[in-house]
Amino acid sequence: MRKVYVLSYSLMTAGRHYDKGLRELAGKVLLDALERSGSYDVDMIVLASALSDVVEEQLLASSIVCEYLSLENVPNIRVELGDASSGAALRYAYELVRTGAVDKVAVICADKIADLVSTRANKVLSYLCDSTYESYLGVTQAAQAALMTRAYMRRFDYRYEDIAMWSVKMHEHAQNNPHAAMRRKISVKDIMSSEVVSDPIRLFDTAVPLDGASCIVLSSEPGREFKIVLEYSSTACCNASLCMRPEIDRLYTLERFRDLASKFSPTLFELCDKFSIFGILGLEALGLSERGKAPRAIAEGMFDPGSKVVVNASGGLKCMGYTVGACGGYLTCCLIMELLQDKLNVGEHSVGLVCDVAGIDRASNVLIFRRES
Amino acid sequence: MPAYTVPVPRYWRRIGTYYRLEASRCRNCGRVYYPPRMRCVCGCKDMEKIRLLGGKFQLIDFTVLHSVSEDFEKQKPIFVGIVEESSTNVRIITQIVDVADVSDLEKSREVEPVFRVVKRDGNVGIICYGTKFRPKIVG
Ligand SMILES: [Zn+2]
Repeated sequence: MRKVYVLSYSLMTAGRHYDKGLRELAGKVLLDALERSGSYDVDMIVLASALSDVVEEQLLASSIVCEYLSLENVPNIRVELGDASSGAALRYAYELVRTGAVDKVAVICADKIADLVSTRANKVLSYLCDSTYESYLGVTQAAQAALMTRAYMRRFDYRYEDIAMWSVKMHEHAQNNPHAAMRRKISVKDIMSSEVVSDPIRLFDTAVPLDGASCIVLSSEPGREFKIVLEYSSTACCNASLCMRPEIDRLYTLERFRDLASKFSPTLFELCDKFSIFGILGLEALGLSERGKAPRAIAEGMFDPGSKVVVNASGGLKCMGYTVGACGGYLTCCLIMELLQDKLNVGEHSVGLVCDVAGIDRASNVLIFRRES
Repeated sequence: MPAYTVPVPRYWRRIGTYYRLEASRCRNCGRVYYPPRMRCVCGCKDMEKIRLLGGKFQLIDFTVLHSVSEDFEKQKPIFVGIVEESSTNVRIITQIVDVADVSDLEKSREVEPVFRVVKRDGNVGIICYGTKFRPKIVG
């Protein structure tokens, strides 16, 4: 098996990009990443997008993006695994390069959601639940995250203010991230006085749905500027409804990656935090914090930039935006920037772990990157 | 916007599960699934259809959902809860209705299935029904 290198990357700050469709968003980041890679030659384009058909009524979206850049003969495919499409696409690309099927592949992580009014967006995002039996009755991802939050608070005797500290921390971290959409500091009081999304979750404690795109080019050869190896990539699944799990306040898929921490010793992490409870449970699932103790560790600043282990120095999805199928692309690009100490300087680290989570813990993808000197 | 969005067959084929809470029970190990499954975790494919509708249900937990999706704008806020059928231990995530006061849910943990309109599909589409749950009326 061959080594897989990150050749280049690019991202645009997520936002309400009303002036751009999926092809413009995806085309821009692909163009930038290919130019930085030194050549427009690429063997394969993989587009991670959860919503291209639902929002833009476009199938074969990856082909349309290639056409936009006149990459007329480049093979392409779209990968969809809900809001973990990016991690799944990166894993697919990793396998293509590792096995020698292709030498250079560009993974575009792009989605549009901000075109939709909020109730329509809520409906589309509820497709991440079981549409026939859950969304049909009005159940949404936020409602399920609220139930997880309640269960966790009850089990370990936390107040919602303790959970919301995750968001406060994310906003602190985001101040140093030029690609964070939300960079204003917020307080627990701001969160507690924002409107209720699903009791106890409040608006300022959620990642705002935004349009976004990023691109990561993987290759069997390193580039001239830096050497970052994608060392490991895998997916774990829990194909069952939330309510049938023994404990609803756990991320079972991420727990299966716990031994990676000792195997690869990552000290940088970018975790999916579409809701604060996901960030908290992610820390506990990966063994970065003991079960039931993550909110205290977060409040004490144990994972802040400058610490031994740094988590979500980017400000996470909370501050970069919830870009649905594109979420993992943002986490990955920021982790690469942190490893390179490029714009996101959080200290000297050589190994980092990224994970994205699909729906209510139906799947998670883990990627481990190592900087080589 | 199209005048209607729910194709009739997609609704019609769910009438058993939506109206009568039809679940599947494994003839080998007795596990019960709602939504129904074709194959049990034990590996057995011999599943029989059972109805949860007459069962006894407990409310496990609930949340008040304010930021609803577009079909539920007129009903908001809605109560989303996890209920458990006591003889099968099946848990369902569903809508809780007829909640006069949130404290009713804290006190009255026993809930019962109730047949209700779920949504009206535009001006010319069908009216969709289903089973929701309400705090059990005693007496
Ligand atoms: Zn069985």
